[in-house]
Amino acid sequence: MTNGLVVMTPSSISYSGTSASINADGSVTFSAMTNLELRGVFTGDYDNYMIAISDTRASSNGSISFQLLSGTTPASGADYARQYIQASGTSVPASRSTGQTSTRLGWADTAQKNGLTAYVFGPYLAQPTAVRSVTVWAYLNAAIEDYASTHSLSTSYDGCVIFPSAGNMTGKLTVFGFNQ
Amino acid sequence: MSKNGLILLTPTSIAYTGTSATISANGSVSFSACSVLSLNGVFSAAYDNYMVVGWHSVTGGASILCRLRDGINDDTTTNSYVHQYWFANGTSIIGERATATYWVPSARGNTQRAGFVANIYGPYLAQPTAYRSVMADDYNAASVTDLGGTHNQSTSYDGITFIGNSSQTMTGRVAVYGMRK
Repeated sequence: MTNGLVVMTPSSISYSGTSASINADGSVTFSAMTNLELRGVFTGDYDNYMIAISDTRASSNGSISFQLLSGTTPASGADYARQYIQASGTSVPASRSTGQTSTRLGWADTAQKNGLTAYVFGPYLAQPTAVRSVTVWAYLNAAIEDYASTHSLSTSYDGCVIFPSAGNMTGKLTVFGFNQ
Repeated sequence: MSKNGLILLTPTSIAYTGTSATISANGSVSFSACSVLSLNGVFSAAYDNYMVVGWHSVTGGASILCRLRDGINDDTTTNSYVHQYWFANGTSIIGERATATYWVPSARGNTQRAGFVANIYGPYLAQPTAYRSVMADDYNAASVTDLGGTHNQSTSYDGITFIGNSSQTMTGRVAVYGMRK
């Protein structure tokens, strides 16, 4: 019987902010973080990954941003495109941004805790990468801000960078590989 | 005691139309330039609910379709599949309910790559089946397309077939996971 979902313990992390550490179970806890590199979480063993980010609270309302990472070098070229759909009360706006230097997984709010699940399709493969996030945003107690993103470069990436667009962010995350 | 909650399943066999398709040692299926790909024997009494995860490219600008499969036959019963979708394309959001002979588990992937996660509820049970898919679609570089669907036949299905809409071919990898009861 093959385990379908495998915890990917980072080979190392690098961060800016107050603290970040790898837990015994492979998850990463971070406090007042402004930049967090997760190294060695994508490998040739798996094509697709799931990132669960929980218990997040931000010092300022802003996005939870994402970049692919090769070794210690973030993919920071203008190669990301993202589409969001938001639901807040009766308002359901949407928008696309292309030529971005990072993409977004969701938003973090200051008032309560936020959470999201992001699926990353093929980051280690030398082909374009797709990312889809499903979120709960604590804005006005409950809102949705989901993203679909693409990264156009046919490059293999073994890690990713998570960072808030404003202020800092506290929470916990785990990267899982879908066995194949 | 903890148990693995998500189990990677191996098809008992596959069938395809196209260049190639192979089952990996652990159970996922890689396929290249296939217009049809059937996974047999992935649903069983051991699990009620399943997760299907895949990435792909397609040769055209159309979506991927799927049908439930009983043995070696796809269920093509008229009007038996209904899906509701929403599609966020720039500042436009549209939704529609469609009645068809298929579901749509994933969309395009013709300019970059697309990925999807589809949960299928109770396909092996002799009762109507439900499914929900979330995807990253590369239409206009990036779009959100989600679908929820039902299938009204009270039949037990043990497999699933993926079809490239408009005869386009598909290249990628797909895996089926059982959620432990």
